[in-house]
Amino acid sequence: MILTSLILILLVGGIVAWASESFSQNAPKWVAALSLIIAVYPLHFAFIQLAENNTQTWLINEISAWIPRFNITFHFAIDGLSLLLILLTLSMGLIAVMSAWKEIQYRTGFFYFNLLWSLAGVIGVFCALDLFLFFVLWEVMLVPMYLLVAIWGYENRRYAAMKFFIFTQAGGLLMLLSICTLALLHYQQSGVLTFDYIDLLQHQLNPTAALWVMLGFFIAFIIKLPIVPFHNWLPDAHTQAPTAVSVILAAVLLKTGGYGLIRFVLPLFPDASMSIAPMVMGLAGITVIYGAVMAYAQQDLKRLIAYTSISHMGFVLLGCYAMTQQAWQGAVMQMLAHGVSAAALFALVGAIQYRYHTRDLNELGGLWQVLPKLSAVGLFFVIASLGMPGLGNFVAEFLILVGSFATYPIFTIIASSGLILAAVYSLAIAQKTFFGPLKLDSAVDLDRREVLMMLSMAILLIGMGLHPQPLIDLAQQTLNQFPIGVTSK
Amino acid sequence: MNGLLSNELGQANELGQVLLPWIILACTALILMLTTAFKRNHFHVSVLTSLGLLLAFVVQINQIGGLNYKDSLLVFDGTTGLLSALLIFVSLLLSLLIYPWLNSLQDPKEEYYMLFLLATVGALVVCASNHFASFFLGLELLSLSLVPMVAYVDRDPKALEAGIKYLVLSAVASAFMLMAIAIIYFYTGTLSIEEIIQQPPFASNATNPVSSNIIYSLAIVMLLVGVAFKLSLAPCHLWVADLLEGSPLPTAALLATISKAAIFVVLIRLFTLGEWHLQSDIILILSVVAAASMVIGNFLALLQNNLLRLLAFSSIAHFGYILLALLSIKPNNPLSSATTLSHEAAIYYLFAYLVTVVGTFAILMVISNQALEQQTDASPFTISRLKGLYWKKPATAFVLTLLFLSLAGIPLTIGFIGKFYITLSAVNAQMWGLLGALIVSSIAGLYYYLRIIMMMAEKNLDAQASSPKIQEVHPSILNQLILALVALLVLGIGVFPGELASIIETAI
Repeated sequence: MILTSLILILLVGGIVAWASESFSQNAPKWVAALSLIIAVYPLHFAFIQLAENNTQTWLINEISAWIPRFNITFHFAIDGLSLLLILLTLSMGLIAVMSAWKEIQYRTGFFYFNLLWSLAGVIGVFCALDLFLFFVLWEVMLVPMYLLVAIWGYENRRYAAMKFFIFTQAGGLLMLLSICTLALLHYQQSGVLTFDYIDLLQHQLNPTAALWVMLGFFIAFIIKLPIVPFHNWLPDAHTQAPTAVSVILAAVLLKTGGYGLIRFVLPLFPDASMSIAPMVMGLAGITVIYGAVMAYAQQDLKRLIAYTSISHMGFVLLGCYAMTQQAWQGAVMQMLAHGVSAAALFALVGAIQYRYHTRDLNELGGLWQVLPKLSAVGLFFVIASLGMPGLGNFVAEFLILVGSFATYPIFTIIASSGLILAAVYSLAIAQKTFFGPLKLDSAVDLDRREVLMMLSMAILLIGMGLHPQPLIDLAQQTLNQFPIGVTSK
Repeated sequence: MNGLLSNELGQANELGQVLLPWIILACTALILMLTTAFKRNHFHVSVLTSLGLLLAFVVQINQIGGLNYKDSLLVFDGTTGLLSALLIFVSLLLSLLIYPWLNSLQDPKEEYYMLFLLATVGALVVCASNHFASFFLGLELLSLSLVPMVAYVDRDPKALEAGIKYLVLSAVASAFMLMAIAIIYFYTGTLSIEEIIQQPPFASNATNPVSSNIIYSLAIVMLLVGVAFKLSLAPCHLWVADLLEGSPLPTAALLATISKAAIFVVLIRLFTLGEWHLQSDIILILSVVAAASMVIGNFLALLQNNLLRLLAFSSIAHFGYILLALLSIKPNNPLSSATTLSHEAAIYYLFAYLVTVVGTFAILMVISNQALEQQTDASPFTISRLKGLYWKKPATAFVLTLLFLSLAGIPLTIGFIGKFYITLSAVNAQMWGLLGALIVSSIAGLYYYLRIIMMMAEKNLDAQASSPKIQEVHPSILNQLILALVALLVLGIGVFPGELASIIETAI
């Protein structure tokens, strides 16, 4: 019951946070932070398993019955990849709580309740191995997220929240269809009705069926990632969401899409994935370029960063469908590094907005003169997102490009021009915000809480950049299971 | 001789046993009539009604799965038992909610309970009918009791309008059905639903199939028109919004739940006993009706500002969804060869829908009681009245959110499990086109459910000035209990659907 308890800690924490509001306005945030810290504890079992050098695929694997009528179970399990993403979720959740510390004053109890419940949902998504359970959690994490944007967002929040929910729900319904079809096809062949990932993994579909079933999953995941024709919800949701929610959205929620591709689409439908790979690579290339170009055109700092997220997620898709080990490693690294760097940038914009009540690039400028600390960390994260060697993002993008050059050189060349565009928009952020003439009054610089938060993220990024091997090793076991791909070239 | 007698006695005994809930309800109605003749006492009558329903419910629950009785008129199998229990349960919940509303009226109140009980009995008869005669009797008992209930508040022109509308339209629908039944009798010489299938032109060895016989096809279409009217399915749906808006809330709730569910059971019976899955024309008609209901219902609901009209349109869509489960009944599907997935899907969804809708009406009644007490003349059910409900009445708002999420089919609610059942059975029957319609209309549906949730979540800082003060009147404890029970059911079954699934599986 390790993973169940991990999720329960967050769920109960949410309820406690809500209830604690009646004692004090400040109590909920302490409860939220505390429950996120406590939630790390159950994970030490996974590390014990790792230390013992077990070679089994799943570090923790728990099954209990749920709906016997359809043979649906509470099947939670984690391997290295899930472990990494869960750790990312918990740490970025903590960052989100810290960045909401002063910003959220309205109905704090309900805010932290929703925050913790959506994080619980995300963690559930990262460890659910029953497809039905996965789907349920996939949808469940949306509802609190929707409320967070709809209640605590900025001026146009209702439109943004609605768009976010409807886009992801549309993808979700397609995925539900695919899940049902997959389970029934398996039943037809084997006579056993099951939604269990490990059982379904054994199943060989005929190519046409596989293609259609795969598309349902694929579309759901690339809506979440998001990839270009379906990216529309992200800039709105990001711009309107309060800082903490932007942090969660960028750091964690988008990663569920990438995780879905790696965990479900590629292993369950290897041949179908291979067959659509060229088109997907094209889509990924377009996303990288489109996101970068759109980012440069934005005036709203948050919207700009949202578009850079789209561009970076294009790299994840590129890595997933290049079908080489390096590219997959790169995709995982990109999810982690982008999780941290995008979270940091959103927290930074939040800090600016908290001080000046604006995030319009035309109104900002010259912040270095009045806010040296904020500007310095800002510059650091901007450079990280541009892909400076020595930081996590560089390792990720390098691995992806090296890996995919082997199989799809043309798309890789197109995508790598995205790196140049990344430099363009990153420097534009730095130039328009931190340098130039000062247009605003002075304000209080980063306080200790904010410095702690920014520094910890900076350290994470440097760690990932200088010594990425442990992370890659952790994820490697998952990637080795893949039945497809050009493993050594 | 002796053996025959004891056999008959046993038969009669068993009949008495299965009819016990009906007898209890009919007796309650009679007792109400007698007591009212002597002395009118609204409170006593109300308590008596609820007690009668409770007793019938307990008896019915005990019968689920245990009894299996069949004669030429009635059939009591697992489906009937389960659905009857559900119908009585819904009536019971509604009966507990009527009191405050009726109490505020000046008209005589006690008769409403009698009609209410009779409508319930009618629904139960329809639900158990195995013969067109018993079906029609039950149906008329149900509809004719509903007519005065719709027009109960006779000073309200809207209620009168709704009453007349319902009377005329329901009579037309009944006429259609009667004509259909007559034609079927003309061809087959029997009114028993079960025996019809053995007669030409239905029998599988018949030389000419149904579709080649134009009059017979006409009869089936007329029957479907009647059923579609009662279920407010797409081409015959126009009455439902006006009716739900115009009639008193408890009646509207009855119309939206019990009367529809009972008829749907008959439709299931017709479909399975008549082996309609072999009749491609009927399948085509029903498919078009299902798709149209889903799409039209949800798209018409998109921009409604009146909660009742919105619920009416969404109920059209929901019955479109359930039709999907019906259409997927095909004995040669991979899963249904071994089990009865589509059946279960229909019943699970009905269960989910009924519970959710009753809960929604319970909340609307709370709101309307408050409106009555405050003497506001504006319609109490505009969506904007819910503005900021989260911050004024968090518990009520939470339950309403849950109910709307359930209607929208979001996981961890019973509505999602229902939708999952339907999707699974539709995928099983490979009805891709209808599944497409399901997805499109679900997304449209999500929009208006979210719109209401959004309205409740709105920061309402100038609340006192703009909207009437919802927050000052507290719902009664009974109301709160019912809301809590419904919320528990919606959430509890949504999280742990296994129990109910196995109950339904074994009962069928």
